[in-house]
Amino acid sequence: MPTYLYCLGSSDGPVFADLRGIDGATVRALAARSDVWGVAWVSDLAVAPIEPTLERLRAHEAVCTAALERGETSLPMRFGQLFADDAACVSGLERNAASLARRLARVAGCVEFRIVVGAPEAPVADGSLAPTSPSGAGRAYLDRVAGRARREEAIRANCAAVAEAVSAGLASAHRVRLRDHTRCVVGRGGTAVLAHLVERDSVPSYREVVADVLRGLGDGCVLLGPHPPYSFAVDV
Amino acid sequence: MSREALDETQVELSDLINRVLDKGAVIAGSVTISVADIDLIQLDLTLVLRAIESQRIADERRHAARDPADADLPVLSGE
Repeated sequence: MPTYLYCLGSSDGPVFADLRGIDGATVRALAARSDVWGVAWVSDLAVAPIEPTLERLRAHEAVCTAALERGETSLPMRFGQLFADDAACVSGLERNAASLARRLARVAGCVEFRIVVGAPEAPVADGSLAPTSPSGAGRAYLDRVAGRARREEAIRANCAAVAEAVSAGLASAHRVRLRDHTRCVVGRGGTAVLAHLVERDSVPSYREVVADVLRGLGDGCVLLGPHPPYSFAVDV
Repeated sequence: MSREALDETQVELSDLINRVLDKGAVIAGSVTISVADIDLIQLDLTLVLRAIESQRIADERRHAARDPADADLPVLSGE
């Protein structure tokens, strides 16, 4: 039966009893054969390939969050990491052992927070490429492309302003230990996201500082987390 | 600069989809997920998810033909 992989823990040990994963399957610990990671959190999956439903995404997230709540920082896998069986899963992990070791070290002892920034309130003017040029389908198309680009730029600038305010707030709060952060990433829903990798013992201070800063910026920003460090799980 | 107010519940749901589908370590299936996530994320406003495979097929068909969004782009000679 196919094996679905949720996350990797750096130390071994059992998973929580009765923890259920995708499609209600029991989550179990798959022991590593090397010392790169301690345990892989997996479950059996009756169907393959797996379709990404909202319920399954929530189940994936719940298992990764449970791993985080065990007290160590696990390396979350992207949704859909499916292997023929346990042996194939272990083999796949071992093939990537060096890269996984770097990623585990990068996120060790940290959690991820995400600041979602809304779009600018004022609409971005579509503008005109050349007011005197004749109208037509090609012109309309280029206007739309230019409009999309201007809107995306405005969203990015909006997020950059928030990022700057948050950075200034965090810089003045010496008790917050921020290990890493991402650039503002513009999503297709008209929002932008900025992710922070925060050391666990400074989470309360981080929340306090960021909440203060965001409060001063109005209600167009939301702080989400702590989450497993999805945004920092890529190789570096 | 003022910003549009965000509905926190909607933002959390949208962010869950973006985060779990788009981020995280990849060991297997990276190509499939990477191709699909573009359109899966695009769908987060309507909170509808489609199968990766059907999304990929739809994506390929759309690119192979023409992007419907560009339907009124003038057709060039020989296209």
